[in-house]
Amino acid sequence: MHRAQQVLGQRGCGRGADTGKLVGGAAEVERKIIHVDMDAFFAAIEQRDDPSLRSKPVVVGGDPDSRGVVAAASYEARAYGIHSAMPSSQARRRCPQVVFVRPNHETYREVSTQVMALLREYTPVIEPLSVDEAFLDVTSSVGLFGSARRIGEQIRGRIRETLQLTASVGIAPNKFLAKLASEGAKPDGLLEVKPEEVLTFLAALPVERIWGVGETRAAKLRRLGFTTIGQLQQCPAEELVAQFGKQGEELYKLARGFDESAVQPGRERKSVSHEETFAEDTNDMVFLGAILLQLSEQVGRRLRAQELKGCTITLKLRYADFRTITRSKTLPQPTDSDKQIYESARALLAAVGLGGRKVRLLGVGVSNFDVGEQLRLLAEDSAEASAVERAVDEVRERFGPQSVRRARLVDGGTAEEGRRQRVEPDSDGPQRKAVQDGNNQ
Amino acid sequence: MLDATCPQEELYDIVQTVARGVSGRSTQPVQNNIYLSSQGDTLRLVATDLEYVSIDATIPATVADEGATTVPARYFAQIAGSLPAGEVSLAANEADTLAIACGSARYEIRGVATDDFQMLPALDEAVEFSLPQSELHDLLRQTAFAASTDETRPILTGVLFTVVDSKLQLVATDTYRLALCASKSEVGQEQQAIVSGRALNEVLRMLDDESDAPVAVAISETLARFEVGPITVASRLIEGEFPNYEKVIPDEDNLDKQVTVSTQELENALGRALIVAREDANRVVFETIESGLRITANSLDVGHVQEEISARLEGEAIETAFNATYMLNMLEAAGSEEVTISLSRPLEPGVMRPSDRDDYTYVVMPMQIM
Repeated sequence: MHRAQQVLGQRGCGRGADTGKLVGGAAEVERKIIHVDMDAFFAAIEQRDDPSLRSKPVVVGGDPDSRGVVAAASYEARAYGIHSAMPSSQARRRCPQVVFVRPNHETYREVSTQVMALLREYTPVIEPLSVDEAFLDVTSSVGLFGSARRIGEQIRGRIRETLQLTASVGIAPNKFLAKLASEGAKPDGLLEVKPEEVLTFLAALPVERIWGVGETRAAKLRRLGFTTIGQLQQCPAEELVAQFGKQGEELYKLARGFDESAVQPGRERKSVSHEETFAEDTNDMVFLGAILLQLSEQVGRRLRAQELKGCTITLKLRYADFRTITRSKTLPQPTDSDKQIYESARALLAAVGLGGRKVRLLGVGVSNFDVGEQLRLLAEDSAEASAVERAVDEVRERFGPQSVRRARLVDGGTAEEGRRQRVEPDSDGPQRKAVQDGNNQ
Repeated sequence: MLDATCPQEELYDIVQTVARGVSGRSTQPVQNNIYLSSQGDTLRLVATDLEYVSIDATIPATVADEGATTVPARYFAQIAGSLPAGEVSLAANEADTLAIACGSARYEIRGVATDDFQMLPALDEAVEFSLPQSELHDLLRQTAFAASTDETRPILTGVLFTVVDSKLQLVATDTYRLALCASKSEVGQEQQAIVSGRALNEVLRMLDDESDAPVAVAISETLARFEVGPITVASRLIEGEFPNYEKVIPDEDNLDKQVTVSTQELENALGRALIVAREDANRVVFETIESGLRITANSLDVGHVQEEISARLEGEAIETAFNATYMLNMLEAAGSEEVTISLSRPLEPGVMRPSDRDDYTYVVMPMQIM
């Protein structure tokens, strides 16, 4: 029995694509995709705006004296081994002269808007991934500007001149490769992966760099003898499908640099939600609470990545008899906080009152983004919580979704994990999310 | 055994008042009751949630026998309100059943023995002072509303009482706005306490804004007590450190733009704008124009509203947005013909003050303009 799982996220690969179309790692129609990623964005803005911080190790984040954490580190600070999500106190131990700056998200958002406006001049087909990175499909713009490389160079030059910031640019035939290329170009560089270079470019990279390969799946791949993508390229599709089911097919394609997902412009998000269908219907409130917390964290993480805050929290609940209800609560202030989302969802669930009825699906969503924020006079505890949440996001981004977990989920997870184990003995772990982007046009 | 008679009207009034001391959420059921005792020539009623508020009151009564019991606040209040005018007789028996008789009506209400009913402890080593009712009324009216109702940060649900230059100064903030008001009377001794906003709102209800009768205030290490005539409101102080409010009050030198408007006109305009703004987080955009102030609100779902009111302006033009209800709260409490709104830059805090007084300061954070 398998947990119902659907992935409709923007990162979903061209699923219906015919494997037979693969030609040397690229699709038949050669696209030109650019991934622009700002370098040490928050820290760089602080250094730009305060000359005394330039060429110094700078950490944007919480107070080292009160259990703050690093939200972003300048390259000078990274040289000391300081990275996001590290406790600020530890950062100071590694580098006593490090300068701590409180995050100023207002400014970051403003600069982000300027960056995106600049990128839009090169193509309308632009998909911002978060405040500091975006995909551009410049296939049709190449005629106008010469080549994708020239566009990339111009973008970097103009960001440097007009915003006094640096960006790294990756150019490739698809999104997956373009993002890998910009990572390879960092910091302050440009890397183009031509179609004929795709297989070689990928071969040296570790398997974790493939989209959707988290900690658990990487461990399984390593057990099977695949450490690099190059080793994976040698493996026939059938074997991967046998080991990983449907996802084996994707591994096979991505290992060869095949990704058909389109750059999706104008995705005006109306809601961000996650839901999960259980293997067994349940009315175990401890289990449901743990699921709500996890769904809230997933939603919070996506909101923060996109710099969105919403006022309305929605709980979706499907009973064993498939009757589905939704309950919403509107907060006075927009939020992207895991805690607030969870508390509201929890209250909504409590208000529904299961009365012993079993549930087969729970979902948590946040919407109503089109609201300007009420600013605060006093920094609130939540500012600190938010820094922690953002830092945790970064760790998860780098080390996989299960790398940082709430004690609550580890504890409560025993029951939860037990349930999983029972129904899915060969579970390969953390990809339990049924992601649903509620983007209505 | 409790046995007393008193007029229905007086009983009803006092039961209504005291019943507000019951939170309805108490984990001990007996705390949802009103304690009732007859003694000397008075009837005493007490209700408390043991945390935020305790209300203790006496009324004159004809006492046939002294004694005490407790009865559910909800039923007692309903009954007291439903009885016909006339003398009400209250008599408890050994099983703590309270017989209530008035006119032709006869109730027998199941009560609970007083043994488990708890009250707040008496105040020891308290600092005491008194203020005219009207003055305390204004102080509370102008500050308590700004306290937070979010129980997850208890400290902000309280109002800070301090003494500055011998004057009592009250400060409340929910982090979005801050209200600070100082007394005219001198109260003497240095002290500092954070008093529950909920308890203070109860005190506020009892105060007569035109009476000069004194309110006796006592504050100890752990409790605050307010005696308004025969009614005493007490509350546990909120422990912890109040945020450093002084640093959020903008420096006067930076407030280079001033808008002085009629309190009533601005109140009316905001009330109208709110019909649209309510669908947009109460956001109202303020824009200074030659003739005064332009107020607009927009909602994708509802539509648009615009209004211009006359104002005296100083400094450069500015456009900023505020939560209309935060401003209305202040305007309703200001008690002055005109208010002055002082601003610096669009995303920086604004300061509102009655134009003719400097003892009341209201700092409000703007909203982003979308």
